Amino acid sequence: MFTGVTIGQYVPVESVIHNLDPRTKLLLTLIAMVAVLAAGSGWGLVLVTGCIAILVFLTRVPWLLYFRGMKPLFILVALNFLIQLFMVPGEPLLQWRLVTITRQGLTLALVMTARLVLLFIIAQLLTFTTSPVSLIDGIERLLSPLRRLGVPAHELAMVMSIALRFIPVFYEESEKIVKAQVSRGADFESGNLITRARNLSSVLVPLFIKALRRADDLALAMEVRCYAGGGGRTRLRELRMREADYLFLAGALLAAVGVRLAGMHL
Amino acid sequence: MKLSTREMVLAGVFTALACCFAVVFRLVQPALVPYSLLPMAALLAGGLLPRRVALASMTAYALIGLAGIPVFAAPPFGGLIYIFKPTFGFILGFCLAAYLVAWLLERTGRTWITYLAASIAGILAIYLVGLPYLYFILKFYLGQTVNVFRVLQIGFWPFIGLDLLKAVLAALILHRAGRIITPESEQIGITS
Repeated sequence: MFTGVTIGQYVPVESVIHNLDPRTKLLLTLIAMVAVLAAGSGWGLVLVTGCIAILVFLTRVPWLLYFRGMKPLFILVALNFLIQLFMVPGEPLLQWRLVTITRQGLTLALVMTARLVLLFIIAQLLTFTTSPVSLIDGIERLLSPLRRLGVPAHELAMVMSIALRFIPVFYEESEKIVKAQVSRGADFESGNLITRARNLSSVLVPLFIKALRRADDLALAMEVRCYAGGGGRTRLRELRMREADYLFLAGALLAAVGVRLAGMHL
Repeated sequence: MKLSTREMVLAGVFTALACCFAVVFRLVQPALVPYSLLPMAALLAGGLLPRRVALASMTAYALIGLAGIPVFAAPPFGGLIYIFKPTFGFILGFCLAAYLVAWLLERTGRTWITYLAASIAGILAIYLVGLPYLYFILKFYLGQTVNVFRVLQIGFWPFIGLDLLKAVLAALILHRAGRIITPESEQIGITS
C-alpha cells in the first residue's frame, strides 16, 4: 500500500512511448479520447481501435495490466451492456418470452462497451508510461499559457510536488498519533457518533498542528534558499520536444481526422 | 492569482492531508469512520486556510489523482479515467466547497454557528457541482436515459444525511482547531 502511494501506477520499462515528452503524451491522450468519441459506430471505431492497439503495443507494458486495472469498472461496463441490450426498442433479432434483443440494441450495446473500454485503455496508457513527477512537469508546461488568464500553473505544480512529498510523512504521523492516543486510553472503535467525532478530533487536531509546523519549516527553508516562484527558475531536467514527439503528434492528428472521416461515411 | 511561498506550502500540506484522509484513515482505522472523509477534508481546508489557498489545495488534489497517483477514495483510486466516473463531479465539487467555506468564514467571522453554516453550505456546493456532472456522464457517456429524479435518487438522497453529519463534525473540529490555529492569510500558524 505504502509503496503504492509513492509510485502510483507508473510501469518503468524502456519504450518509445515512455521516452516521449510528457506534454506529447498528455496531448496524445486528449486527441485519442476525442477520436474515440467522434468515431461513430462503423469503420471509424475499427480504425481507432487499431490505432490504440498499436500504441498499446508500443508501450511494451504487459497488456494484461491494462485489463487488471479495468476490474473495478467491469461491473459498470457489464451492467451498461445489458441495459443497452435489452432496453433499446427496434427491429427484433431474438425473442424469447419477455426478453427481446433488437438489432439496434445489440449495436448500441457493442459500440458503447467498445467506447468505454477504449477510453479506459487510453487513460491507463498515460499513467502507465509517465511518472508522476514528469506528469506534473507536463501539466505545468501545458497550463502555462493560461497564466495570462490568472491560472497559477507553476504554483499549482509546486503545490502538487509538495503534496507528493508529504503524503508518506503524514501517513506515518497519523499512525503515530493514533497509537499515542490509544496508549492514553482513547477508544476509536466504540461509542455513538458524537463520541466518535470527539475522538476523531483528538487525532485530527494534533495532525493539523504538526502539519502546520512542518509547513512553517518548509516555507522558511524555501525562502532562505531564495525560492521566488516560477520566473527565472532553472530545472534539473528540462523538457524538450524531439522529432519523435512531433512525429507522434502529427500521426495522431492525421489518424484522428481519418477516424472521423471513416466514421462519417458509414 | 499569485501565491506566496508560504501559501504554496500550506496548500501542498493540506493537499497531502486530503490524500491521507482518502487513503490512510480507511486503512489504519476502518472502524473509525465507515464512510469517505473527503468532504470533510474539503470543509476543513476551507475552514483553516485563506480562500485562494484552499482552492489551490483542492485543485491540486484533483490533479494529483488524475495524474495517476492512487489518492482518490474509490477504485480505481486514480488516473485520468476518473474523468469518466460519474462521481468525479463530487471531487470537482470539493474545490468549490473549500473556496466557498473559506469565503463565507472570511465574511462572517468565526463562531460555532458560522462554522456550522459554512460547512453545510460547503456540502451543498459539493452536490451543486457533483449532481450535474453525474447527470451528464450518465446521459452522454454511458448513454443511459436519466432524468433529474433518477439522478437525485442515486446521487443525493442516500448520502445527504450522512454528509450533513460530516458538516456538523467538521464544524466541531474547526471550532476546536480554530482556537489553536489562526487562519488569517499572512500570519497563519500556531498562536501559542
